[in-house]
Amino acid sequence: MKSIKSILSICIVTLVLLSCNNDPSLQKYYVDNQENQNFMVVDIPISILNIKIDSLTDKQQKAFKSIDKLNFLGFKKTEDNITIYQTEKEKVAHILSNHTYKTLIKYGGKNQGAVVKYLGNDNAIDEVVIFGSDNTQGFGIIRVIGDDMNPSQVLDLIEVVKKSKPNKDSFKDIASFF
Amino acid sequence: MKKVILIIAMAIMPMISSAQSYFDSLEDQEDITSVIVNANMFNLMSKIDVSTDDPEAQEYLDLIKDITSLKVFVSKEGASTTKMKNMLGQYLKKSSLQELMRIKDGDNNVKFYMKEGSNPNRVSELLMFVQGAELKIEGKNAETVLLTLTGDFDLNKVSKLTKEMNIPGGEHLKKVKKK
Repeated sequence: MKSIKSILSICIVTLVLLSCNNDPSLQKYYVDNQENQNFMVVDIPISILNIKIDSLTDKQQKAFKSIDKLNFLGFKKTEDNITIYQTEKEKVAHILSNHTYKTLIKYGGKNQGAVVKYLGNDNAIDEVVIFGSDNTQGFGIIRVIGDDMNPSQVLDLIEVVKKSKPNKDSFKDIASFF
Repeated sequence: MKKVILIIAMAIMPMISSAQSYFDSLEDQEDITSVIVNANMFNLMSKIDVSTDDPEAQEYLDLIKDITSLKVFVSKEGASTTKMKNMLGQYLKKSSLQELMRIKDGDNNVKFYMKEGSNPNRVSELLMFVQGAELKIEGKNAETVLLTLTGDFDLNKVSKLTKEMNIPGGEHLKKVKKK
């Protein structure tokens, strides 16, 4: 009886500690900083690729439709916002350190870093997050948001992108930000 | 009171001990460039749908399925290279890695260590340490490379993967084979 009690209390304490992890989400971070002049937030609809759906095979269509949009956030570092850069970078790193983000690749170098993470499971990815930083330029986050994106479709997607005729003007904004 | 502490400690344990590996502390070193490819990535890569009539791609996929992680650390700064060397020394002492081969190739000192896998033809860990190497990373000369590959894989197939992935020290990995 005593042991059941202690097992139960272990479970409760674990649950309480886990639920304390009420971390801010990346989505909220995007929204919070939309109006901030240090940031640039852009929603990139997948239609930017300018693809004629009819020209795709069934498999390619399925892969293409599993992606909803791309979401970009950039922070440009200037001489005036060095301390803000550090705190904001740490905030993002903290959000991404949440265990629901599964790490794929991590890169770290002098003054630079990048990490690729995803949400979902290995057959149905909901979101891919790419976070890169450069201590001289700033940092950027790209979220690829979709619904049940399947890794087996990666090659189909590459074919889709090859066929695309992207609207170049839309990318100019982002390129000119840095 | 003792009991309460014990209960809290046991509750926290699984959160702290979530698969920290020995070399993780090198990741945050300023002077060390690191590339970490996780089990998740290899898992996803193995699911990529390739046409099975391409035997080379198939073989490549088979190897990926057997690998759980790839870590590469590179540094040319004296203090960091010493740290890497010391960490390797400690790691070799406490883990059951055996020396596989040693190559002196010009200025490069290359050492390979391995741990046997599920059967004699497989390895569960391959570790490569290159010192004084004249490898070019981002156009700079790198001094020291520490690479570990874990999983349960066929050593002779590793050179195939490194050729595709273009990782630092890959040219040395090509030479590795089972005695």
